[in-house]
Amino acid sequence: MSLVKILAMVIAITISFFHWIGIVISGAVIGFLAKSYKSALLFSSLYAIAFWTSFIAYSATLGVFDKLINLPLTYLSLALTLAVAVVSSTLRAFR
Amino acid sequence: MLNMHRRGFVSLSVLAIALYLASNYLTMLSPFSGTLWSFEGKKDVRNPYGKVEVFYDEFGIPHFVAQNEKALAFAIGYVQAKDRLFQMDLHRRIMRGELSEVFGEDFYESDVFYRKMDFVKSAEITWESLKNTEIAELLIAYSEGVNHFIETEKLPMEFQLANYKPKKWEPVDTLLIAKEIAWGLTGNFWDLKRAVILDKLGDKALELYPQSMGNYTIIRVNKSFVDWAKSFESHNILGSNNWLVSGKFTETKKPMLANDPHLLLTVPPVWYEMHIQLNGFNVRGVTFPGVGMIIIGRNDFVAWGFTNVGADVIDFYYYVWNGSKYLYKDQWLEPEKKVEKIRVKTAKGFEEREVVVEKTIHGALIERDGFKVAVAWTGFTNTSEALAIYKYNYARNISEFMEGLKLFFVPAQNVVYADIYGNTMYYPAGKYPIRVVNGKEVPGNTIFNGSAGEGEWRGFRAFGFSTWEGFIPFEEIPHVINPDYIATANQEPGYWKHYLGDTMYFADPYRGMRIYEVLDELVASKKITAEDFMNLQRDTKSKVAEFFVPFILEAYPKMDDELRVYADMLRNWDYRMEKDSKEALIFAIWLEKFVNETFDEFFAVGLDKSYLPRLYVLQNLPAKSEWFDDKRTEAVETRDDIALRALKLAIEEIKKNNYKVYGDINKLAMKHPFSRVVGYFDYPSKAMDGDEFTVFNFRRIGEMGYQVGSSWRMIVTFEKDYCVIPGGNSGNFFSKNYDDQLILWAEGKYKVCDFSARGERIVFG
Repeated sequence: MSLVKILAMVIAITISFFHWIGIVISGAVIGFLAKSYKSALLFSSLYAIAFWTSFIAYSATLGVFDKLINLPLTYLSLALTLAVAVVSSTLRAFR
Repeated sequence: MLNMHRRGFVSLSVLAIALYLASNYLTMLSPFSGTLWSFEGKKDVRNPYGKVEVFYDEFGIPHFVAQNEKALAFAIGYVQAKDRLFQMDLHRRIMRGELSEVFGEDFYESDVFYRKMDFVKSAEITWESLKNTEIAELLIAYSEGVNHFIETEKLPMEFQLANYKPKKWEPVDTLLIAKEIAWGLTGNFWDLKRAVILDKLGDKALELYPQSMGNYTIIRVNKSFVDWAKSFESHNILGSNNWLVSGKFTETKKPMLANDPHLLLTVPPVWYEMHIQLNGFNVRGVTFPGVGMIIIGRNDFVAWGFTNVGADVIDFYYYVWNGSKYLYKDQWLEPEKKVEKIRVKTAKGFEEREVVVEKTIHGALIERDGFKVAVAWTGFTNTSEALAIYKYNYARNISEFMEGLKLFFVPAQNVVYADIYGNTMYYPAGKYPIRVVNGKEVPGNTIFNGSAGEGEWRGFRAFGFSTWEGFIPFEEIPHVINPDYIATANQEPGYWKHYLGDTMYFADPYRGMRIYEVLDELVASKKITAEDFMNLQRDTKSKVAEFFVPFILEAYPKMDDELRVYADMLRNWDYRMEKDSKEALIFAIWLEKFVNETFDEFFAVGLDKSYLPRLYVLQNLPAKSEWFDDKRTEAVETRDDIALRALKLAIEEIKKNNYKVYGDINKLAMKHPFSRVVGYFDYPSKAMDGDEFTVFNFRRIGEMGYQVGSSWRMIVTFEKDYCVIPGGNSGNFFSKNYDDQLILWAEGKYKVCDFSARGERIVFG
């Protein structure tokens, strides 16, 4: 993977921490980098789950894990992250 | 290639549509950046008035360290908004009649009532009267602090879930919160209910609502007080959940003071705890979110606590009408009218509905089903409680504190006071109207003929500026300086020359009796410690049970063997309403049935439980009173028959529901305002001790879907103080201080309340 591609992914993930548009960009970058549609969908899903999981892990360091994990909205957050990342990865069609 | 691009455009279109539909949710729920996850706030905040340091301790109590009052007020506004903005806005919306704009049509009736009462106008008048006082700039700075938070920080999650943004906070909003509390404690419609009872049940019902409940009053036989009070022609020697004990009887030789106001148990709690240190001067206690001063608490020199007097400070007036005009002393007057628009959220979108707000010379005009009365309430005018509270906060001795007392108008409060010099005081401060009809003073528990100008309050101008000539002068309010000990529990104050309210304005005397019983014993036997006060605040012994269980035992000869087993349990009971007690379970259910079976006539004519007389009146009815006779049967029932019937019904209910102990029915259920939609923000449930009549106060059936109980427990010793609130200081669901005091509170435990500024820091400057 070229440095440019790595840099693109790092920038996209960094943006994700500050705005949801970063998740769209990350999904799209994964789509462009993936060798096939199947792997685009797979890796974007894994990315979304990993990103959401890291958020939950972060919440544990702030002592709010129990509250977060019992709140249905938390799972809506996972569903949205997953959906946005996966749909964004299908933009690989423009590659 | 073309195919690929077509697929790409399809993907792009799907993505665009998905983002369009979900963008609000993504903004709210996106991991890390979602506005819902407001875990932490800013550590540096701009303050136009100067530097303030705020330290959040382990319980999320903010400790403000400031050198400048305006800077302090700004910081308090900001911090209260950070912790309780939704609650502040909710209460402002209640009072402004703006709930249905956000929460829908269900709240429209509430909005109409609050608009018609025009509390906003009375807050505006109050603000006008405060503009030239020392607190005006502080109210403005406080509001600016709140607004700075609204403009610069993520809003609490409730705003996002309800999908609205709060309007700017204004000084009038703070005064509206004060009016809300005052209305909640004195806005009593008993005069109207009384008229309904007389209409439905006739004069015979009057025996259930005597003018007084007898000798169990706050002020008891006390020579110094009697010497002072006799000049006001007290006719009776009257005797009395706050109390104080002079240093003569304490281990530390300093006075001690305890207070636990019983208010709605809400999520987050009604009180907000804070500590202020201004130029080294400490004040600590609780306030209502939206108010930037300590309402109950202590400073370096003095401590104070409140219970509600409950006096009748609201009257109703009817008129002779001629079309839209009403008769007033030979003149036909048009009510003052204004049309207000209420924005209502409906299933079809927003609607604007018009409400006509009308006022007569006496007050707000309310009408329902052709019945129209004007309401006069002492809060409908310029009142100065904000100034009074400010003076309490910075009082250094009893005379400075007294300057505040003179300014406390509504809701009239049983104020107990103690200071580091050993002084103590009881003063039921407030404005009490004197009603006159044909030159003679009369009680205010009737509906007055407004057309004849009966029962008017001299010097009172609803929605204008009052001069208060026709009210009991401050100096004539019966009070006690330096009592050895005194206890108030909303019972009748006693020793009053003027009408203050009938029995329905005051609580049953049972809590007051129990507190005095324990204090009498303590004073006689030992030097009192903080631990003794804690034991008294968590006391679960029911005087009601002590007086009513003998009624059950009276019926023993008529019982079968099974019922006798239950009666024997009650015979050997210690009368403690504790969650693990089977006897408390039997008694609680029996009492409910006994009351219902005795007063079945009320229900038969459509009067609900809120019309029933005080329990103390029931306790003192003769055993053969006709109220015990069930008119539906041929036999003539007496008290033991009804007690027996109630026991049978109680046992049936216990068996049917498989109840084992009192905690099976006496459960804590503290609700967040969103509870009707989602229950996730509610506090956890828990079996509880106590009931309405015990000192450890918990009412499982409260008002408006909320339970009622000790909303703040405070013990001041001037050496080591203790306190606790029911829940947590933060209203933010994700805060570790959201409900961290709940178990302490529920189990009758405390945290230390000190003046040590410690913990996580925010710097304002």
